[in-house]
Amino acid sequence: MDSQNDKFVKLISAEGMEFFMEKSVAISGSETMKAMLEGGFSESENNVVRFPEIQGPILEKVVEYLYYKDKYKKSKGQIPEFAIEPEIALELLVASNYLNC
Amino acid sequence: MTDPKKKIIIKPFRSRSHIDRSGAEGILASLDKAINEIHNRNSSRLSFEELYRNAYNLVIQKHGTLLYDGVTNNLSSNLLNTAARLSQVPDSTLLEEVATSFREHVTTMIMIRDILMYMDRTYVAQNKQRPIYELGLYLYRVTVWERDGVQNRVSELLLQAIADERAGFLTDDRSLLKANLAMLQQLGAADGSNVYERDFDGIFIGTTQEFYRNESSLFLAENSASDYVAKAESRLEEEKSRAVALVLPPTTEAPLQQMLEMELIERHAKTLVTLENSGFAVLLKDESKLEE
Repeated sequence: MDSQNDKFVKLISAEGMEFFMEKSVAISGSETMKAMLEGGFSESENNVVRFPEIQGPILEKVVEYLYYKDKYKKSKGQIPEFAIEPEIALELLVASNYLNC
Repeated sequence: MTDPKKKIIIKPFRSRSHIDRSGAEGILASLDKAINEIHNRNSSRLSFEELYRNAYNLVIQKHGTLLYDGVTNNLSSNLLNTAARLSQVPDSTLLEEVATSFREHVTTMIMIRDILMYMDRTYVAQNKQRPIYELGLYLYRVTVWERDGVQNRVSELLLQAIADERAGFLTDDRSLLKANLAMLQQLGAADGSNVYERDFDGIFIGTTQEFYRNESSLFLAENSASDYVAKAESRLEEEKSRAVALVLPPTTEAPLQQMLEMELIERHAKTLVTLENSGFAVLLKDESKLEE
C-alpha cells in the first residue's frame, strides 16, 4: 500500500455510491470513524468502509459535514450555517447518532 | 426562505425491521464469535462496521441487557481459561506470562470497547452499569489475578526479586517487575479497588522495614560510624532509584522514604554520635580524624 493510498479513505453507501475523503478529517470528526480506521480491523487494513445502512445522499452530507467541522473547528467567531435540506434531516440525524459526530 | 408554493416532502421514515428475542440471540451469537476471534488476535479479518452496526441495532431494539450480559459472559469464560492456564505456569516464567496476558487483554478490551461504543454511550450510562473497558479490567482482577496460584505466587516473586537485588544479585527482570506493578495500579484504578496496596504495597513496605532494621543493626555493630554513613547513603540512593525505575506511585514513595530514614538514621542517631572510637563525638574531638 503506497503512501498515497494511506491518506484517503473510501466510503461506500448502501446503494454502492463511493465517496473519498481524507482519513485525517474522518478520524478527527467522528469517534466511530476513528475507532474504525485505527482499530486493527479489516477497514483499517484496506482504508475502505462500507455502510450498508446509510443511503448515498445522506453519506454525502455526512462527508460534507466532516469537512465543514474540520474547517471551522479552530474558529472562534461567527461561522456560516451548515445548510440541511429538511427532507433528509431525519435520516441524517440517525446517521449522525450512529457515527457519533 | 422556502418557496411557499413548494411542499416539503419528508420521505416516510423507513422503519427498521423489528428484531425479536430469537433474532437478537442470533446476532449476539455472531458477536460472541467475533469477540473470540479478537481474543485470538484475528481481528484484522473482521469488519468493524458490521460488528458496530450489530451492537447498535441490538441496543436500538431494546436488547441492551441481552448484549451487556452476553459480553460479560464471554469475557468471563475467556478469562477463566486464561486463569486456569496461568495457575499452571511454572514460577520461572510466571511474571512474564502474567505481563503478556494482561497486555493482550488490554488490547482486546480496547477493541471490544470500540465495537460497543454505542452501547457504552447509551445503555450503560442510562442503566448505571460499568463501562465496557472498566468491566474488562474488573473481570480480569476477580477472575485471573485473584485466582489461587496466581496472586500469591506473583506477589511472592516480586518481593523475592527485590530482595535479590538488595542482596546484590543482578536481575534483568526490571521490565517485568515494572509491567506487573503497572498492571496492579491499572486494575485498582479501573474498579476503585485497592489491589495494588493490598497485594504489594503493604507487604513491600513491611518487608523492607524488617530488612533494613536487621541490616543496619548488624552493620553498625561491626563497622565504624563513617562506614555506616556511607553504607546508609548508598542504600537510600539505591531504594530511591529503584522506586523511580519501577515507577512506584507517590503514595508508595513518601511512606517508603519516611520509613527508610527512620530505620537507617533516626533509630541509630544516638549510637552514631556516642560510638566508642568512631562515633561523631569522638571525631569532632580528635582533629587528626578530620577528613572522616
